[in-house]
Amino acid sequence: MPQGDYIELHTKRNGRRLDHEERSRKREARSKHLIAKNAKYLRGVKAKIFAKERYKEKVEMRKMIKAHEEKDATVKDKQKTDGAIPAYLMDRDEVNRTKVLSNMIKQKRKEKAGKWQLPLEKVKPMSEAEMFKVVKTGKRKRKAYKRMINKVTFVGDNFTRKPPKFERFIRPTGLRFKKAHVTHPELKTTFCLEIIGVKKNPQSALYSTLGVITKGTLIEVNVSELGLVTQTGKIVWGKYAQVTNNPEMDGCINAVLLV
Amino acid sequence: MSGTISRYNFKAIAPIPDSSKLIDVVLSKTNRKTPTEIRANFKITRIRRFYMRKVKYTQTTCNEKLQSIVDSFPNLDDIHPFYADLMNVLYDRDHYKLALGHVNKAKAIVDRISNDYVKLMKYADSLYRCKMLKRAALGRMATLLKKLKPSLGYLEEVRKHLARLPSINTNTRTLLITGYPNVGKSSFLNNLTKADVDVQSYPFTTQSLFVGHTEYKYTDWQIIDTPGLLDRPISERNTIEMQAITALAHLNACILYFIDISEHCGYTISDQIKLFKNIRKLFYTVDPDTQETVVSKPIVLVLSKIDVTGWEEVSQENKDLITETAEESKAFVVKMSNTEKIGLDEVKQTACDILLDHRLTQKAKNPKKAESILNRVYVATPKRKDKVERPAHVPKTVLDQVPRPNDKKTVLEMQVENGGAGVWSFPYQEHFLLEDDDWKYDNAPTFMGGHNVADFYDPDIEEKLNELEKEEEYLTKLEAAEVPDMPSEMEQMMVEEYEKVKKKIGYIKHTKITQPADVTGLKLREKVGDKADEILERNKQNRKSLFEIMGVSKKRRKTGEEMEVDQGDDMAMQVDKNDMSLRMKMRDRKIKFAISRMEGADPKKLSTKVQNKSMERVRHKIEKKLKKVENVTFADRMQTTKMPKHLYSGKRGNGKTDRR
Repeated sequence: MPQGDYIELHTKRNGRRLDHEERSRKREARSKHLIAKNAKYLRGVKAKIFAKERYKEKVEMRKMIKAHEEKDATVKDKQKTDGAIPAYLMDRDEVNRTKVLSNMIKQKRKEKAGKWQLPLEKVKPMSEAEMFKVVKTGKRKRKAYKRMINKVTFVGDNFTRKPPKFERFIRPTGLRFKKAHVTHPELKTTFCLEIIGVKKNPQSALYSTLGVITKGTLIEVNVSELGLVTQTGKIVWGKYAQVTNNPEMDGCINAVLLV
Repeated sequence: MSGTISRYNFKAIAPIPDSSKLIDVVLSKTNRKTPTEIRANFKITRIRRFYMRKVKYTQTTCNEKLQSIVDSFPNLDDIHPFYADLMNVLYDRDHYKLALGHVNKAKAIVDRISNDYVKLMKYADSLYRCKMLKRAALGRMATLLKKLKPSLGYLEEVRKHLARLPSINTNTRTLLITGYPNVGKSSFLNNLTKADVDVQSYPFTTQSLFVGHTEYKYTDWQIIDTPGLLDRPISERNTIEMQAITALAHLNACILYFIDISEHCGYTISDQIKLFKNIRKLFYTVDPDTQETVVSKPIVLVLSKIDVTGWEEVSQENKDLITETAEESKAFVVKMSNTEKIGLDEVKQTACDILLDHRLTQKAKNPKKAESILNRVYVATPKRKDKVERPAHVPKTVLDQVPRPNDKKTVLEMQVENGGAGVWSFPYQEHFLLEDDDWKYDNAPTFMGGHNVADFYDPDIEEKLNELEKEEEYLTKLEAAEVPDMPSEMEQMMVEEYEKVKKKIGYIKHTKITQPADVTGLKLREKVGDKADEILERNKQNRKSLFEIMGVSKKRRKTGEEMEVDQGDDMAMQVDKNDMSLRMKMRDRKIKFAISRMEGADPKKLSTKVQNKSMERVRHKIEKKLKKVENVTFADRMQTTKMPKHLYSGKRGNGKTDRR
């Protein structure tokens, strides 16, 4: 019965067969044929997986080749001109400087304009039909005043439902979320934080009050875990974050902390 | 807990896939085994179900794969402590448990993900949303599997190494070889077994446990070779040494401690004795009766390399040291040499014997085992009834028949005397059974005229030859007498009989047609006759109608066509005639058969052999015919129309299948 490193022991005792090097070289050389065959004949999912792998390899290969290639780019030799600059070159520098200036002005204006610079500035408007589903009620199902919210919602802990007759908007329990994955843009780390409330839904004020969370919604999250401190030394408890994904599509809420 | 399974098959663990491979397997399986066609205009419930199924399916396959990985590895708490400790030494128990725990935990997380997403899918209102949720679910599962990468990699390495571990049976008779490095442990194993362990002149050649098997007293013995040990505290020992320690500590074996008395290994005898005393602590147990520490395992001190330095050359000091320690731990001292192969069997014998003894005493000590054995054993001690001697009695006749040994030469002796094998051949002729013993040694031809004589052999050849000779004799006699050619009395009789029968047949034939022989025949005749009349009548009518038709046509046609019409008429007539004659013939035959059958039933009427023969033929024919009709089985294959055209051609209408 083979035990221990029996293969190594055998090669140590008897050596390799005389054509081992040649055979391994050939096997290596022929491996390309197998790849070619697979590329040609694989079908379906296997073909997809294979093609993806092959693509990755090729990218690596190309990068490697590029890294070792000698570039033919002509490098401009900047001649240092002391003293007087020819008149026809004077304009260029000035143009450059103006460009920089204009950028700076823009930035300043921006800062003045909004208190926060939101990661998502615009959102796609949503129709009411997309947001709500009409729930037919009444004995004959004639009444259609009730709405069920199709999107993810946040419902506070102390929420109690109204009596069914007065409950116009239904927020299904399956779509209620309590936590969000919040990314700190400076730390580049993500935390799973509790939601405190919905500050503003850009789609409509109604949604803000209902606590609907869609892409671009501002939510307030509990950041006590992060240990952020105010200038006065108090621990920051709540902070705003903007939702960056479609929670109803992804099954989770991703947000960016507004610093 | 332990001991129930003494042999573990670690080689049976299936290869553990890489995490990326695992993801590919799981996802492609989902793709293959679940439906792939869905349209946005399908009912939303159907769309939801379609995607839920995908998520659920991925969950189950994920779970299956992970579970099979977890199950394939042995649980350290369930296996024999020797293996548990060995695995701890080799793979680190904590790491091993963490890796398996990681895989196990992934299962629960996959379940949770699947449940969450299936729940969310219930509220999905479009195909797109369902699809995105499914995508997110599968994506999260894939990420989870990706995170298993280091654990799976570790488990794969463990699996590879486990497969290379020697399969040590923890319960069987075992000899365990130990000692300093380079004292000849592996060479001893190689000498006794077919293990073929690598032996080199440098220390620490053996870096893991090795097993060999040998036979002693018709049973298999397991010999385990361990890596060499150095004399240092257990906390400082490395992995290689620790393997040896686990084997020493846990295996119930006879310990062969090797001492190199030539000191060629680089360690003095006193050093080696010191190490022995050190590891002896592993075998100490407290005797439950006397409360004393006792060495619990049988030990043999093997003094190796005596070909280099004999026992006599060892200094008195060392001799005393060795004998003293041996006495202390109740060990046997055996001297041996691997290169000269001196004392190998002695070592094996003593070790095996004391281990057998030890195992027996252990069994006896265990009250349960002892009882179970004693329950099975019953020793009968019959008492003598009286003091009369009753020796075995062999009758004299039998004693006479017993062949005396030197009465006859054996075949072997004969062969040796007459030039040995190849020269002498066995005298088959002696045993031939022939009429005359003188023929025994005759030269009988095997081939004659290019033919094999045996091919023409006939057991009755003697009789035949005699008969032929007799006939010849008779003929020659006849020729001599010149008797005129006259038919014998017998022949005469036969001819007369034949004539009679011929007449009779003719008579019967005649009477059969004109007037039946008896009542049954008459009935038959009536029946057939009735039918015949009917047929005649019908035919007449047919003819009539035919003529009528012809007449009509005649009227319509011109005279130029008369020829044709006449011909047609003639043909019709002919057909009728043919029909009639055929039918008549058939009828005749039927009657004939009927009568002959009746006659056959009456043996009195079978007057001659000739008639008998013809009867036989007829009966045979009838039987054949009857058989054809009655005994049709599946074997009588008949080719029928397989697909009747009217059932298979044309489009199917609205009618029912059985009304078509």
